[in-house]
Order: sequence, then C-alpha cells, then structure tokens
Amino acid sequence: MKDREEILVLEDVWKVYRMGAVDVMALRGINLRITKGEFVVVLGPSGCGKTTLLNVIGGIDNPTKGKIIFNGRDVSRLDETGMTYHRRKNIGYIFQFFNLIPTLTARENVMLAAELVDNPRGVDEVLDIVGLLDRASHFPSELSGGEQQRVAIARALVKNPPMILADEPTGSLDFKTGIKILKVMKEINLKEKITFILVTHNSIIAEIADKVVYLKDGEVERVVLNEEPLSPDELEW
Amino acid sequence: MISLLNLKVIRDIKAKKGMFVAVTFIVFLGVMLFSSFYMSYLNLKATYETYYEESNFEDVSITLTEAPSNIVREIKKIDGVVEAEGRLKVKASVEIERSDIRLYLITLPEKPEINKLYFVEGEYYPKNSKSILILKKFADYHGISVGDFVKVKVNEDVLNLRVTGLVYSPEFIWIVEEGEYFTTPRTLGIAFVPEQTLREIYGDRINEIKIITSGDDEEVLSKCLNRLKNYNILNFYTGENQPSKKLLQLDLDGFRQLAILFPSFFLLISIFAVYVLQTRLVREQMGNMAVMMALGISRREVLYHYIKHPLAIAIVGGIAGNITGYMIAVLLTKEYTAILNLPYHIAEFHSDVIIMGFVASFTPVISGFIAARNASKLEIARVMRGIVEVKKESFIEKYLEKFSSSTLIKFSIRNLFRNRKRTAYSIFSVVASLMLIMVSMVFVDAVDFSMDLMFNKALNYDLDVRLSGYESQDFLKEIKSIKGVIEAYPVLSSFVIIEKEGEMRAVSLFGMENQNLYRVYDGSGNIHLMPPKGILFPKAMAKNLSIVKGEKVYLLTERGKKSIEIYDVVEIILSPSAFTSLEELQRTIGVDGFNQVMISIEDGEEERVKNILEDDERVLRVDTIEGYREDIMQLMGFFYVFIFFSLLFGASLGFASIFNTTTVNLLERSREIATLRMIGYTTKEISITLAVENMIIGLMGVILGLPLAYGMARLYFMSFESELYYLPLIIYPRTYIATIILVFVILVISLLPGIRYIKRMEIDRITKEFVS
Repeated sequence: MKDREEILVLEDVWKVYRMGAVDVMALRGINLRITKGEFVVVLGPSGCGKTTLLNVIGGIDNPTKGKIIFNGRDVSRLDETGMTYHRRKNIGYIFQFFNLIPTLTARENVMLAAELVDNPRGVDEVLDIVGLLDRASHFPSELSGGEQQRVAIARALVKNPPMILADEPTGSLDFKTGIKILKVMKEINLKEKITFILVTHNSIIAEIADKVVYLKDGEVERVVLNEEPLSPDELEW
Repeated sequence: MISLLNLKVIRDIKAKKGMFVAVTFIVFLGVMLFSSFYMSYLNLKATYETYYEESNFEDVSITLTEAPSNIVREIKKIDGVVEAEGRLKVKASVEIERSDIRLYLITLPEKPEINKLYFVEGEYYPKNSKSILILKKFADYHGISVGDFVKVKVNEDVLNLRVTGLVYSPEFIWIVEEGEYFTTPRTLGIAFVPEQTLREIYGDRINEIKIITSGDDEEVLSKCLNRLKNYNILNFYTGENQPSKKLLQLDLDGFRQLAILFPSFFLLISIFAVYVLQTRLVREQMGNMAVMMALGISRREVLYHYIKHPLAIAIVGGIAGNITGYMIAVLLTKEYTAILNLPYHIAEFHSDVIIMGFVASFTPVISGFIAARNASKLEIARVMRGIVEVKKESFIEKYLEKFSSSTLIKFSIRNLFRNRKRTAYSIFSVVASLMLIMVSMVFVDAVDFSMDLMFNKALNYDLDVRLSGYESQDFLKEIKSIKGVIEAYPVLSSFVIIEKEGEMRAVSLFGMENQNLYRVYDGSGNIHLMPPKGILFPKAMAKNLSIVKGEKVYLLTERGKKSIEIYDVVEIILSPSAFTSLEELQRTIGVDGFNQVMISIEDGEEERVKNILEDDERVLRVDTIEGYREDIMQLMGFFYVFIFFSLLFGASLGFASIFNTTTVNLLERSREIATLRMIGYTTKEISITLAVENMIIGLMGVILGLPLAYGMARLYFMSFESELYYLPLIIYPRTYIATIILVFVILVISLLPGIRYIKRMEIDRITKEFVS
C-alpha cells in the first residue's frame, strides 16, 4: 500500500487512565496504519483496549501520548470543539445497542445526522441502501433489532464520512440478523469505498475483514491481512 | 446494623443528591412558610388578646359632644354594665424644640379599671398632680424621658406638666386618626392627665364613656345609647369594632390567609416533584428490582423500599422547615410588634402547628406511594426482557413541528409529549412560580400607583395647615399675602357619623372647592370633581351599608342629624374619606368658615412660610407633604422586605421544581444526548434543544399563569379591602414584563446544571450501556 492511500495512522499511541490510586494503561504504544476503503476488524477479549482504541480514533478521547493522523491531519491533540467537528465530518458511528432516538422516526433519526453536515447524502437514498425505505416513517419501537441497526448504519452513512466505526454492531442481534447487518456494512464498504473499523470479540467476524488487528492488554499483538475475505453469508457461529 | 436495602436508599439519595435536595427544598419552603406564618399569626393573636385582657379592654365605647361626668353613674346602673368610666379627650399640642406637635390629652381616674395602661417606666400619677403620662413611642421619637417637663397648650392655656410615666395603651396599638393617611409619632402624640387637670379648663364634663359589659355588647350599647339619647352622640362602637382593634384583626386575617395560601403552593408542587423524582428512580432501577424480586424479595418489601425515599424527603423537609419556621416566627413576631404600639410580644412554641407542619410535610409521600406501588407491581419477566418505549405522534406535535424544519427542534417538541404528566407538572410549576412572583410584584405596583396618584396628582400642595378653630376668608387673604405662597385653598374637615337604617359608620368628610391643590382620584385614576350637591362616598363603606348613588342618608354631626344625598360612590385609595363642596359641608354642619388650608409654596420658601404659620396662634399644626411621604415610606420598609422574601420564595419554587424536571429529563435521555454528541452535535447545539423545551414549557406556563395570577391578585386585594383601607389592583406593563423575564431567567438558570452535565458526560460509556 502506498502512503497516499492511508486514511489513518497511529504512531506510538498510549492511553493511561487514572483509576483511584492506580494507573490503568488501556493502550500501550499502538502503531497502526489503515488505508482508505479497508474493512478492518479489531479483535480481542474484554478489557484489551478495543473500545479505547475506537474512542481515540473517533475523537471521543485524546491519547495520553502518541500521534493519530487522520487523512494527513494530526487529530491527537484536538480540544473539545475540535473533536466534535472531527466526529461530525469524518466519523460515522454504529453502536451495539443502536442508540436511536425513540421519539424520532427512522427517517428523522437519519435526518438528525444529515443536518450536521453541509453536503449530506440523500436520507431516502441511504435508507434505500440499507433496505429500509419502506419502513422510514416508523418509530424505533415499531422496528426489529436488525431494522434498528440498519437505521443506525443509514444514520452513520448519511453524513458521507470517510470512516465508519462500529462497536460490537452485532452484539445484541441474533445470528441471522447479525449476518444481515454485516452484509449491509460490507456492501457499503465495497460499493462506497468507506473505511470501516469494526470492534468485536467474535473472532468469526474477522473472516470478512481485509485487515484483522489482534489486541491484547492494550498492545497490538499482530496484524493479519486477509487476502481473500469471506462474504458474511459464508460465516457461521 | 443498617440493612442493605436501607443502605441502598441512602446511596440512591446520595447518587441523585441535587434532585433530592431540590425536592426537599420545596417541602422545606412549604413547611417553613406554613409554620412561620401560622405561628406568627398565633403569636400576634396571643399578644393582642393577652394585652387586651390584661388591660381590661373596653367592650363598648361612646363618644359624645359633651356630658356631665355624673352621667357615668347612670350608665353603671344599666343592666349588663359591669364597669363604666367617663373621660375627657381633647385636642392639644405639645411644644417640642419650639414646634407644636399635635397631642390628644385624655383624662384618667386615679386608678383606671378600663383600658389600663402598661407602664414601661413610672406609675399612675398622684391625684390632682401636674403630671402627664406619654405614649412610649411618641416619647422615644421626640426624646422625652420620665422627669422631663413638657409645655402643653390646651384651649388657650399653657400647662407645664411633669412626665411621670411612659406608657402603652390598648386603645392605641395602631393609632387611627380621622382624615389622615397614616399617623406617626412624628405628628401625633397621645398623653394622659389627671381628671383635675382638664376639669380646671373645661369644667366637670366628659366626652367619652368606656364600658365593660357582662355579656352582649351590642345589647348594652343599645341600652346606653338609649340612655344617652338627649346628648349629642358623635361615635360609638363595641370593642371588636374599635378602629385600632379592627385594623389589627384585618391584619391578623391577612396573616392567616398567607399561612394557608403560600405553603399550599409549595406542598402541591412537592407532590408532583416527588412523583417525578420517584417515578424516574423506579424506572431506572426496574431492571435491578426485577432481578431482586426474581431472587426472592417480596412486592411488599419493594413497596416499603421505594416509599422510604419520599419519607426521607418529608422528614428532613419537615424537621428543617419547622425549626426554621419557628425561628422566623419568633423574629417576625418581634419585628412586627415593634412597629406597633405594643409593650411586649408573645412568641411561643406551638406544638400543634409543628405537628400540622410535620403532617403537611408528608403530603408528597402520597405521590411517592403511587410510584412505589408501581414499582412493586412490576412484571419480572417483562422487565427482564427489556421495556421498549413506544411512540405515537399526536396531532399537536405534528402541528407544532410545522414551525420548525430542524430535526433537532422536532426532537425537543417530541420530548415534551414524551412524558405528558411530567411536562404538565413543569408547566404547573412555572404557573405556580409565576403566580407567586406576580402577586408579590402587584403589591409594589399598587403602592407605586397610589403613591404616584397621591403625591404627583392628587396632593399638589406643599403645606397642610390645620387650624385651631374655624376661620373666615380674611384669614385666607392673610395667608395668601405671605411672601412665597403661590396658592391657598380653604378646606372644611369634619368627622361625621353616617346613618342608614339604624347602621352607622364614622367617616371623615372634607368640604373643598374644585381646585388644583387637592384632587379626588378613584382607584382607576379618574378625577372626581366636588359635587355641587351631595357627597362623594367611599365604595367599601357604601357596600357595607348598602348605600347607592343618588340615595339620601343621615349625617350625625356635632350640630344634630342632617339629611344628605349620595352624589356618587367612589373607590378612594388608601384611607377612604368622603368629599363634598365647601359650601355644601358648611351648610350641612352649620359652620361658616373652614378649619384647614392647603398651600402651595415657591421653591425654597417652604421652611420660612411654615415657621410663620406655626407662630400663628390660630394654627394648630402645619404638615408638609414631604413629611407625609416620609411617614408612608417608613411604614413601607417592612412591606418591601416582605415582598422581597415573597419574590425569593416564588423564584426558589420555580427553580427547584424546574431543575428537578430538567434533571430527570436529562438523566432519562442521557443515552440519546450522548449519541447526539457522539455523532457530532456540540454541547451548545444540544443545550439549545433543551432550552427550546424549557422555553416552550415557560411559554405555556406564562400563557396559563398570567390570567391565573391576575385572578389570584384580584382575590387577594379583595380580601384586603376594608372600610379603613383601600388599595387598587393596578398591574403595570412593567410587572408583566418583569415577571415573564424573571420566569425565563429561572428556566435558564435551572438549565445550567444540566448543561454542565452534558459537557461532562462520559459519552462513550453511556452509549455502550445496556438498555433495559
């Protein structure tokens, strides 16, 4: 891969939390390079630092030490406002528990994100991509778990971000629905060339990734490139 | 050892200390206001009653033009009369620092049995001595001490009397002087002398009879009036209607009303506040409770557990409110009685009020119980599966959303309909807060309006000259010739009894020409000219006597019974009097002259002209308009302190209750807010959506609250209205504006902790939390 294709570079990233009298080293010198359009799966057991890694990439938290270069710009020392605008312009989020606003319809939940950027994608267009256009006027309580997660994907997509971060997106879904969601994500990744970083503890999901980052005790244990990633349809767990 | 569930109660409260403190504060304010006002009411009542009882206060009083002193012997023979004393009350003046101050001299027997004086210093004088007893406040104001000699001018005589005592009299707790707005020690004194002192000047006669009865005061009064029918009766009343006592009673009634009305607001709000808080707590902990119930905790234990939170609020609020209320009651009683002519105050610990206050503090437990009962009825399996919030859009929401194209604002509007009970409670809190704030401010408007009307429109003179007798036009010419006098108009003032169908009322009647120095305004700010025939009559008194415009009534004057027409019935502000033309009054009471002159003076000449007039023997006293204003403003001091606290309580109520709902709303939506922040919304943008919600609540509260506040102010003013006192209900636009601004400021301030919370929230943790 050439440097110009890199969307994200992490150089010696550390994150240390102070918990009472103890310093907890959540990330210990992470070095990582992610290229544009890659589907990356970060894999590791609970407490290995997966979410912390996602937080520092997504601009929710600043690293204690090290550099995070996003599209050639150092985002590791941004202030509160800077981090908010980084999230607004560059990042789409997908959560384990969907986190839709219950008082807004599917369309309105997507619109809420669309209103954040100057040139959003069409709300109906992204709902169509995730296959939910016909359910757009339903409230979250009227949608199944899988449908809610698809709305969440549409919400992430509508801002047209170069990168989408997904934290255990299938964690609260059954197997079949989980596969469907992964399929939607993978299709978007392939068609729209949007970089995905998916955090999970489910090692099976790693099969669909272009790159798998194994985390252990806050360190990158190894990075494996998948020459021939599987289609989500081929997964089983 | 504390049980784990009780420990959980403590920890729940600790975890939401801001909200618990806010709700407890509302309960505290309610109990504190109740116990302080109710105890003050009881303290003042006990003080007055004790003093009246100790002094053997009159049951009946009759004022005559004059009568021989032996008439008292006849009165004593009347069935039902236990004791009777005759006395002479005359107008005099006392010279203080070369200025004559008005003084009422009252004769007393050696040891009076009725209206006994309370001695701060000294004792009853020896019979026939050249002594004088002076009312304590008057003595204090003018620096008079026991042992001093004072020069008293009475009926052309000058008496040099030794002050032998400083006293309080139960008749003059609140000094009510006819024809005056307010009476202060600055301009009027009350003093008592031995009977012999005035007998030497006036002969053996009396003009007042004070009576103690054994039963029905009205019946005894009637018998006495019958016995005295050959004398010219000027005024009479039973003890309950004695002007000073009646004013005190009106005041006490006001205290009692406040003691019920104000706290009711707070306790009512606290019911809703506890409901909101406890419902939120229960909903938040439903998952945990379901687990605990699955493990074997009974529904009853859950019910008991969740009722402990409101119980804690009630206990803390009740104890703190009662303690503070008691302390305030002691202070309030002390300060209030200090304004009046009272020798002491009684500030007791009223255990019954404390118990009532404590019981009242438990009112929010009712709503706490509802929330606790809901918790105890939870369906374990359903809760464990997770409860999904179901949303259906209402017609109003759709309509409101048309005004906004922003999804974020839509989010705000929908949140209002999300928990309708809570939104209704928030609106109700704003309404209650607005009502308290506005009613307090309306009092300021009414006083400002009255002051403005009096001192900038109605009373345009500089000096009010009271004369010793009736004077003619020659005297007026003399006054007009004094250098510096711009205008001078004669006034004839008289204290008369109005009679209609056996009902009688004493009223000050002023006769004057139509001129610019003294104009009669009504409560709406309209001028009323002196009628060519008949009198302008105060509305409150007309209402009580069922007098209507155009009818004829009788005036009992010093010169007999005269018929006069009611030209118009007018709401006359502050101290209601009756008015007529100078000629009409002169004709009616048979006087050819006037006894008062109003003068306007050139700038800088006031003091000089005043000195000239004070040196004139025909002049009883000279009052300045500035003096009146100062007296009134001094009296208003206590009133403004009261208004300030009333405003403070109203604002506190609004803040505490809105803060409570805003915080509950925020906590309930913390996940959504964290998500909004996660996807890129700034704290400012999210704060604006919260502000929009609060502003809509504020707007609804204002729309509903303003007419309600107006209605409450009207009721309140009506309850204060009496024959002795009238304050118009005036609400300036500034009050509406200030109230609305204040309400919105409270709404913004109550948002601030929430905004702080949004800034500090751990968005990554919250978005990852399991949703039950």
